[in-house]
Formats: sequence, structure tokens, C-alpha cells
Amino acid sequence: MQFKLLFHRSKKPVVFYFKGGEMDKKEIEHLAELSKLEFSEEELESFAGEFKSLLELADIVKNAEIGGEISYKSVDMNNLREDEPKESAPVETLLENAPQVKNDCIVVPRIME
Amino acid sequence: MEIVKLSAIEIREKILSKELNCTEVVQAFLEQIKKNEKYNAVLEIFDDAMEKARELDEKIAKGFSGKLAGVPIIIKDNIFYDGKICSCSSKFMEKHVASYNSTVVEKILKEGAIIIGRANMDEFAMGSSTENSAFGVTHNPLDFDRVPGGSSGGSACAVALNMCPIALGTETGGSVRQPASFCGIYGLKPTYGRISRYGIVAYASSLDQVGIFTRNVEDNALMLEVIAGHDEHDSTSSSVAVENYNDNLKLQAEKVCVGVPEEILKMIKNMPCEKNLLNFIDFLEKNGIKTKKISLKDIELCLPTYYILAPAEATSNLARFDGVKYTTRSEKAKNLQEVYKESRSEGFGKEVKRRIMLGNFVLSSGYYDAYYKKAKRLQSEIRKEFKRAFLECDYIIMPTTIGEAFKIGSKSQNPVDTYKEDIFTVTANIAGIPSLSVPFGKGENGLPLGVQIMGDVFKEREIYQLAKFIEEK
Amino acid sequence: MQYDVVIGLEVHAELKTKTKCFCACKNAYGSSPNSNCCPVCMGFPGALPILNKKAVEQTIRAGLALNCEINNTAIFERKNYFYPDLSKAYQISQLEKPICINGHLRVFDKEIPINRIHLEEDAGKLIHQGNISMIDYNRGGVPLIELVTDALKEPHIESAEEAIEFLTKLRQIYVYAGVADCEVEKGQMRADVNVSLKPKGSKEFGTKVEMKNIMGFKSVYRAIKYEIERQKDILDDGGMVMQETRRWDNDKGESYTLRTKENSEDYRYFPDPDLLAVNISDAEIKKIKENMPPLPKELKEKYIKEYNLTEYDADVILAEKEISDFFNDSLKLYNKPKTLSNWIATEVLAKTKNREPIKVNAENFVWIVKAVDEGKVQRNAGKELLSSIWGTGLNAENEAKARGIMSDLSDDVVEKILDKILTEKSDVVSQYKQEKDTKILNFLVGQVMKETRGKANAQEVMKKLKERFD
Repeated sequence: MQFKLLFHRSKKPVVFYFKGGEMDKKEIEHLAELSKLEFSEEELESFAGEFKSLLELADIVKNAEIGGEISYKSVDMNNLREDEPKESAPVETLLENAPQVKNDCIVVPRIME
Repeated sequence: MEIVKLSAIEIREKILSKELNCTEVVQAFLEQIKKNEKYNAVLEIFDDAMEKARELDEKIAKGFSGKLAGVPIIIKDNIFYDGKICSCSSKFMEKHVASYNSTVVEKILKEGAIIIGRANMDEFAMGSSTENSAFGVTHNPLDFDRVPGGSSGGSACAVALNMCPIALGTETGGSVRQPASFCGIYGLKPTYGRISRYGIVAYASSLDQVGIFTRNVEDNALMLEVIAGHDEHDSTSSSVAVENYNDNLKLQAEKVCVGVPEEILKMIKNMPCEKNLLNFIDFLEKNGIKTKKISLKDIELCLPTYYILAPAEATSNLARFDGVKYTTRSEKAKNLQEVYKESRSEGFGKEVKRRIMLGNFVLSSGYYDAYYKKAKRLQSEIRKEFKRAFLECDYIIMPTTIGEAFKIGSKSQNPVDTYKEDIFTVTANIAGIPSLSVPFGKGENGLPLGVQIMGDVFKEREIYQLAKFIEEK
Repeated sequence: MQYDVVIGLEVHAELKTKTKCFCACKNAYGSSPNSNCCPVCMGFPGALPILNKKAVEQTIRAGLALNCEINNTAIFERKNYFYPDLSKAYQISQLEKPICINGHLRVFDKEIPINRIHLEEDAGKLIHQGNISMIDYNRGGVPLIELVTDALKEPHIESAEEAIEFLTKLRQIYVYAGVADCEVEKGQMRADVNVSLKPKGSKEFGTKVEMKNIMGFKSVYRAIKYEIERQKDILDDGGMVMQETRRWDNDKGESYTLRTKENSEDYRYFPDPDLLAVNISDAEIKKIKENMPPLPKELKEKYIKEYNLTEYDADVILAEKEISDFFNDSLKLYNKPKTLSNWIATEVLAKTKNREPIKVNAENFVWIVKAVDEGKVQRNAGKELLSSIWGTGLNAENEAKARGIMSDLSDDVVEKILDKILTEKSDVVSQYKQEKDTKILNFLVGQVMKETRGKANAQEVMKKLKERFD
């Protein structure tokens, strides 16, 4: 399949990038931290490889020559929800799927700062 | 009469005329599901389905005649049905019980549908093959070695194998149309905002829509009529009036014009779908429908735009699955950070993790403007292009997929290769327009192909009209 | 070395609404855990936010009260971070197009610039117990406005005193505008403070240090004082102030590093695709402006110009809206602003120290003030009467009668006593006739009052005396 032809509108052939060079392990680790995900060394390396082609795809957008502003769909203030309370859901239902519960509260290990 | 081959409309008519009752209908479909268990289309048959059928028989005896009276429905595993497990085919949500009804479920139940089970899918709707399901791949109904498409592959397979006349799926970038095409059935992605998203586990909120699988046009139109409409629980749902689509499905063939984007014709050169699309254009012309070349110059930018917007929103939407409130929690976790990291690392599959990472990249500080914001601007431009195109024609057509269903395991290596499968479908999601995949033609292996009929926003009726016209020819 | 201090404030206030910002659950304080919750505010999959009109109105009202421009289009963004009290792992907030921008608030003689006021949702509450933390999402989704001062523009907030005055004024305005109750002890108003120092007269700003979530104005005051000294010490020693976020420990009276710039959060803001942009028309803004309750500034002018109160008295009355409302209610029943303000400033305020509510209604209060004015009740007896009906719901007039402090002697009796006194004090009477000194008249009235044990109406007695001497 010929995809090379496909993205002729991008400004330049896409070579990535992140402060020069490819995305390095440290940067992948930073993204993992933002994502709250943990990866083994192996996984990290395989991700770094995959990211290269993912970012080639993303860079087509970055390099696309196109103008225009973002148009947002909007609603008139008058059509917003009126401030009338409704019955809340029963607490048992809300906590049904929680892994740990005490005194109608969801429990997590003690938070240290 | 083979019950499972009946259309939804026929089932309802026969039930209301007492020729059939709900119990025997549901019984027949449940047996059909069990008979086809090896396809792994349905994750769970709801054990109250027979009971609901009996209740409904009583109601019908008392005069109830809802629009979906007695029609068995299968829903994708990311649609909330109160009291039933909704797992998004993820290990993370394996035991998660939905605590409320999604608006679509609420609406179909009100019209007398019986929801008989939930269908397999790519985990959190991320994928084009159901290979990303934590509960095993679904097989193509026509070739066991091939995928049914995805992410709503289970729903598509179920309809193709007569496990139900109508199934609900969800769309973000083609997750209904692509499997419909691979399975040889009809799959609609409505206008963004046509159907409430309340109670649908979000993948990418600005692109997500519920979609409809059927084996014929009229069943599809009937379902849309039931589930479309404004919802006070979804700010992005539209208040444009819902039509009784089946009331007027007659196409005035001589008055319509079908647009074929030049860029698409260029793009499909040497693709397996090329010949089929040209055949389709011929078919339309032969049947008195005018076709016209149009230009959508940025259409090829839809795919990369999609793979920025969708992961970005997904990253944020999936952050709530954190081992705290309603997912499983890692047993290894001893402190809060471990609750997050261990639970998410154990819970999410590889593709989901990949998209979360990609989403975080395009949103992260220093890259947001170049990627996410730029993609939003592109999206606004693309919408304008489609708007302009629809001044010149009533419909736009393009292939649904590059080719026939691919073999299980054949695409798992490079993620971008798989992403490119979505090249034709993501266009409608980016543009927010309705698109129906209509089965048309066969590929070199004799497997079905599909063609998309797209219309301007809220032109679902017009789309059904053309589809009905094609169905009849 | 001498330094200029630049202080920036970010002030969060919970809006007064019946429901939460994005769902119809009650916005209420003190309910049992997770009882005011639903799939939306618990961040359940598939649940979607539905914006509360009143929350937008309240934000606009706050903006107008603080001289802001109101954006005709407002956008809501997601602020992404993981924390257990944040059910969706993002907070719906505003970044690029907040509802209000470019306002100012007068503090002493400065107009402190306000950069923005935006609407967002509050997080839930964490309860720490032993080796677990428990999450209550009742507060999650409660509408919150965040005001950010513009520390890049002059004039700056330059001292802890000015910062406290800013917060005090701000609180007063929010309460008067009906936007927020700002009960600090309920966490309804919270402030983040940033402080930077630069050499006196320098144009360049120093390094900013932020202190998060300080509860209570006194703590803000102490935290700022502490931070100014801390930075001075560093700079005097030739050191560099680190850009960081610190946490104020009120018990120890010191702050410690929470996070430095290197590990600062990346919130990955982007417009929330579940919400539409909100169009706010000029007509809508005008309507809110026209229905704005009177603000302290207007009221103060009125109190001084129309009611002839001193500036000091006006400030005393205006400090709390409850007092000011009570004053206005009383005024409707008895048009003596000066007298009422004196009574309120002394008697009422003495009883409402420590933010105790006013426990008497305007009718009973005014009855006492009037009775004292008319001489029907002695001043001291009146004060005691107010104390005794405070918080009881008793009727002032009935209680005065029951206690026998009403001046209810008949004219005959008073005349007789008067005769007696004038005879006994004939020397004083002659002295008066020569000197015409009113002090002497007062003395005689006093004698009558003593004789009647305060039950005579002093004004009446004076009148009678004057008649006799004319």
C-alpha cells in the first residue's frame, strides 16, 4: 500500500524532533509519570520505537500549512440548566464498585505529602 | 419461518399480531448466540432476558405497542445498562456494574426492546479488530481466521450471524462502519450530537457517537428514530427535531447528486477498494443517479488530526480509571501512587496505554499548541470544507475500508499500520457528519466490502433514502 | 538592604447556589459522607457535566462587583491531575476565556488590579485516619470562583496588612453581592499567596514563591510576614530565592517546600469537549447589573450623606452584612439612623463578637430604642432589657412590663412627688430662678426619678418643671 504519496501536504519530510533527535527514554518516562503508568525496561524501549512512527503521523498536523481559527460550538446562557436540586443517588449504589469502603467513604492508603 | 432471520420490524409486527410472542423470540435468539459461541461476539447473555420477555408479553397483552416491542438487542460493552456489568472489554473493569442507565438504553427499553447481552469490543473502543479485547478476539462471521473489524466487532458479528436484528455500537473514528463493512451489514454513524452520549463510556468526547448495526436500512432508521434526540444529560446533544425516517424513504433519484472527492480517487489508486468504488459509481450512474467529482483538499489530514484529538481526549477521559473508585485495585499497591500506577499498569492493555501516552504527549506543556491546538484548527477547517462540498452535492461517497477484513494477528506489529485502516472513516468523525456504511461488492477473497454514504449534518433521512434505493436495486 | 515586596493573591470562594456546578446535587455543607452525590460529581464513566446557569450568573455578579469586564464567550477547560479528591482526575476550570477579566479592588488608597475571575468546580474532602485516607465527594463539584490579582501590574499589594485588607474587602463584597457566604471556617474562602522581593526601585521582578491553601486570614497574615522575612534573609546573605511552592504550617508558624519548579505539575489544560462555550450577551450582563444588591461602597456613601453617620460608624455597621441588614431593617421601623447606629455599635456588636448571629429581631430592638428615646424606659434598663430578651424570642414590650421598668406613673402621682421635691429643695429652686442653669433642672429631674425609682418619664418631668418655672 502506498501511503508515502498520501501526505504530500506536509511542509517537509517528517523527522522527529523532541529537543533534537528522537524521543529518549527520559522523556518517555516523563509521559509515563503523567499517565500514571509503569513500564518495564523492555516495554519502554518498544514504546520509544513505536512513538517514532506515531509522532511522524502527528507531525503531519504540526507541519500542515493551514490557517483559520478554532470554532467552538456554543450555547446561550439562558439555555443552561436551572439551579433546581434533584435527588442524589443512594450512597450504596455510588460505592458499589469501589475496591475499599469505610463509613460511606471510599478508602485509599493514607496520603503522605 | 426462521425467527432469527426476521428483521426488527417483522418481529415487532408478528409479536403485535400475536403470531409470535416475546418469549419464543428471545429464546430463539439466545439459542442462536449459544450456537455461535465460538465467534466470541457476545461477552455475556443477560440472565434476565427471558424474564423480561415474559413481562413484556404481559404488557403487550394489555395493549403495549412500543416501536421496538419484543425486539432483542445486543449492546456494546461500553454502554451502561443499570445493574449489568459494563467492562469495556477491559480487565480493569471486569467486575464493574453499571449503576445507571445510559440514555440510549433508557429509550430502547421504553419502546419495548429486550436487551439480551453485551458484545465484545476493542478495550475502551481503541482498535479496529477486537484484537485489543481483554477477553479474546471476535471472529469474522464469514471467515473464522479473520477479524470482524472494530472496535464494535462483537456487535457487528452478532448482527451478521443473526444473534439479534439490531445491535448498538459506538463510533469514534469508524468503530461501527468499519466492522459493518467487514461483516457485510449496515452501520450508521449519525451526526455528532444526534444521539445522547450519556452513559456511554467516553473515548474521545468530541468525536464519540452511538452507532447502529442492522441487516437492512429500515431497521436502522427505526432504531435511530428511537434513540436520537436532545438529552438534558448531554450538553452536546442536539435539539434538532428527530424525524420518522421510515415514513419517507423514497429517493427522487433524478434530483440528487452524489459527490466523489478527487482526493479519494487519487488515494485509493492500487488499493483493494479501488475497483469496488468505481463499480459503485457506475452502479449509481446506471440507475440514473448523477455523480460529480468534488474536491476535499484536506481530507487526508483527517487521519493524523484524528490521532491527535482522540488520544488527547482519551488520556483525560481514562484518567478516572485509577484503582480508587470503580475499577479493580492492584493488590500490590501499598501507597497512593502505587494504587494509581500499579492498578492502571495491570488494568489497561497495551493499545490503551499507547494512546494514553500519545495523548499526554500532544497535550503536554510545550507541545499543546503545535499538536492539539493545531489539530483543532485543522478540524475547524475540514468542517468548513465539507460544508462547502455539500453546497455542490447532496451526498459524498468513499470506501469504508481499504479492503476486506484482514487476518487475525496480521496487523499487530506497527500501530500506525493499523491506524491507517481508519483513513476513510475518520473523515466523518472529524467533520461531525453522518455516514452510513452500506454493503456493496466483494473483495478478492469473496469477503464483503462497504461503501460510505455521507450527508451534511442531520441529513440522516437523505442517507437512508439513497441506501434504501441501493438496497432495492 | 531595602526591598520592594510584591504579593499576588489567588482567592477561591464557594458560590452560593442551590445545586452543584455541573449536576443537580445539593450544594450543601455538613451532610453525611457522599450523600449529595451522583454519577456526574462522582466522575462515573459515561456521566456528563451540565452547567448550572446560576453559577455563571453568580460569577458575572462577582465580576461586576469588582469592576471586571465580562467576556461574551466563556470556555471551560479540563485541568488534568491525579488526586483522590478529584473524582474525574481532572477539574473543570477555565483558562483561556474566563468569565471575568481586568477588574480592580480598592484597598486603602490603591486600586489593586484583578487579572481574572473564573468559574470552576471544587474537589471533594479527604479525611485522614490512621493508615487510611477516606474520600467524601459531597464538596466535589461545588461551584467555586477563583480570583487572581494581577501582580505584574501596578499598584502592587506590598504588605501583609494590604493583603489582609484586600481579602477583608473582597469577602465583604462577595457577601454583599450575594455571591458567596465566605465562611472561612467552613473552607468557603481559601487563598493561595505568592510573594517576591526585589531591590528597592528595581524594575525587574524577583523570584516568586507560592504558598498554597492557607486557611484563615490570620494565617495568611502570618504566612506572608514569615515569607518576606525568609526571602529577606536569603537575599541579605547574597543567596538566591528558589522558585517553589511551599506549604504553610500554622501550628509551627513556618512553611516548608512542597515542590520545586523542576517537578512542577503539567496540567495539560484543553477545552472540555463535554461542554459548549457559553455565550453571555450584553443584555444578560445588564440584567445582572441592574439586579445587583447594594454594595458596601454605595451603602457607605448613603450612610454618611443621607444618615449623617460618621465614616467610622458607617464602617462599623458595614463590616458585616448581617449588621448592615439589621440596621436597614431597623431604620424602616424607626427613622433615627444616628440613634440606631449608636445602639448597634455598642449594644449589638458587643453581643455578636466572634461572628455570633444577631439574636433579636428588628421590631423588638426598635421598640427598646424608641422606648428609651421617649423616656418610657431608662437607658440602663433598656440595655438590660435587650440582653435579657437576646436569643429568647421574648417580646420586648411584654418583658418590659413584666419587669416593671416602664414609666407608667399617673400624672397626679408625678405632680405630687414634684410638689414634694420642690418644697424640700426650695434653696435649689431659688438658685435656678436666679441663674437659669439647666444643670439645676437636670438635678431636680434626677431627684424625682430617684424618688420614683426610675419609673417616671424623665422627659415628662422636665416638661412639667419648665411649665412651673415659666
